[in-house]
Amino acid sequence: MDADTGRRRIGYVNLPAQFEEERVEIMQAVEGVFRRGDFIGGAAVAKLEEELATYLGSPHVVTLNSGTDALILSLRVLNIGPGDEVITPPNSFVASTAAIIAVGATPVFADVLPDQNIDPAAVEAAVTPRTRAIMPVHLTGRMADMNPLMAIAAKHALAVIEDSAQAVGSTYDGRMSGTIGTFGCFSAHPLKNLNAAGDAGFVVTADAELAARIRRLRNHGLINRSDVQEWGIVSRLDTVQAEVLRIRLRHLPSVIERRRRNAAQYRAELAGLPLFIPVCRNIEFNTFHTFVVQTDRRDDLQKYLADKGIETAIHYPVPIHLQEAAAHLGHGRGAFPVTERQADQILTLPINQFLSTSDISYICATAREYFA
Amino acid sequence: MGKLMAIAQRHNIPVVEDSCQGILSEFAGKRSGTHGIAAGFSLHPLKNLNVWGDAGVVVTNDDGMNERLRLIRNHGMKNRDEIAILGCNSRLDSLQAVVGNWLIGQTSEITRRRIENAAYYDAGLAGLPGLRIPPRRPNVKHVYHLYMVFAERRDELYKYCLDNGIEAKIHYPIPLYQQEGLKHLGYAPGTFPVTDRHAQEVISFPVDQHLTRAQQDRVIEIVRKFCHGR
Repeated sequence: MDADTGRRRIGYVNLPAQFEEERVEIMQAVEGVFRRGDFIGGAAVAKLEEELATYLGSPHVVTLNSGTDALILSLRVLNIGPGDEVITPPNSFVASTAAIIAVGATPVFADVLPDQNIDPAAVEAAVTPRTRAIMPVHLTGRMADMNPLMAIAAKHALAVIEDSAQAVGSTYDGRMSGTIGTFGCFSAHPLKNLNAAGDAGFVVTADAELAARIRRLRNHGLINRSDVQEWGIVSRLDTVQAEVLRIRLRHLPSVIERRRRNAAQYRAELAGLPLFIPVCRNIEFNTFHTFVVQTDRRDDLQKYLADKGIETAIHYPVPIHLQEAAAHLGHGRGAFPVTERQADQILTLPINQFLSTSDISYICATAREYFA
Repeated sequence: MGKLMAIAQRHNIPVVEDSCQGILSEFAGKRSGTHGIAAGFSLHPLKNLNVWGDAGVVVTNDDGMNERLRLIRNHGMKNRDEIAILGCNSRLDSLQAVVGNWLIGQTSEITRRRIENAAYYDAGLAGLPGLRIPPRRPNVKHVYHLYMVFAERRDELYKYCLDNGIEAKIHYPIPLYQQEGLKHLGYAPGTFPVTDRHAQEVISFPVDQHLTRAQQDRVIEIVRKFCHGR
């Protein structure tokens, strides 16, 4: 309820509720960091990396300052740079394309499928002799169609960098997000299913050497206190954030379970409305970082819901290829029709784990009211 | 900074100060970070103004640069949906900003205590054989992120300190130009003789604001013993 108006209000996120659930644990862990004073590179960082490796079933996890840095450093240790092309979808958050630009390589966009994930046929068509890698994005917590993508990668000897920023814990054909390609890049931004108390991220790989190199690069390229082997950056996960993430990693299965329950309720209660909701295939285990519906009357529906106290979002209204910053890539309107159509149709409904059955019923009933 | 700014002006080169260790320090009455077009400050946990993890600040007197930096730190986003330039992700966490806001009011006092601790060392370590205190220039306000002296038998002194429970440090034993990561620049050993000599001679003693006089006396006693042949 809104305290001022007495009207029902459903926010898109509810971070204070998360804190209420874990206050004691978090405060104890944070206090521990203070007592020890190991703010940078404390033991909790290595422990978190081990726990993530166990959870994901991947041998090497390197924690970083952000998911963006995970993408940048993955490209960098693959020695991808000027003259190289990386294939990626144009409907992601800007970070995936920005990472490719940051290392001096060229992003080559491939359009997406109805489920908003990259279209393997479009990827195949975009491969050139300069292509070095494919960067699929597991948008909304649903993994991209990895089997055909891995087949294309194998055929053309390309690396695969999974942008798993929205898909921690998701699986595809029985395999964890981030563990199928050469690298899996994760964000632990406060709005993610596994979230820190600030910017945070990590990269996973089965390749010990590449992992070791990212470890060096995240800490100025230092191999010990005094020796610099190559030029790196500062992208260390703060110990405080590592402690927060260790606690939240233990809660992650429950977070995913609650989000999946919310998604199932939406599906049941929105059935029959003129809304397109991509099906969940049997080989997919989706974690619903976002719950996105598609409709021609998106703007109108969003306004109607807002008037009824329901906060929704659009991920993302302006495709990357149409951004001012991407002008030099020379793509006009019409270059990626599926992405562009979806940009006008997608609407993200609240799905956070703190919503009650009654909250979701209210949202669905309000949508039904709109279409009536 | 006086001479450096004159060179920069003569050749029309911008000056970007690395003020990471120099918050509240001054040259000729002007604060570190305000001489050039921009300056970088670190708020790393070991700095005089410190937060709870990695963090930093850039200051500039250039409006255009200010706007551009603000865009770049947040993926180049003008607003939630529009990207003006491609940037990076380098935002200070709100949590760290709370800590910084709380400490910023204490930084003058922290600085004052460090300066006081340094003066106490300067007096206690003056005139020891084989030990040289760097010149204290009157137009420079030194804030002692580190308290550093030059020692002829540095490695032995360093070991002697550690053996006697004093956590001395070397900032930094290998000059940048001699790092493996900079090989491609092609500097031969000996290119920068002053830097090389300093790398052999520098040693830092604890100088933080929480140090007691008794602890400082102990450091002075150990260093004196070492310099006088133990």
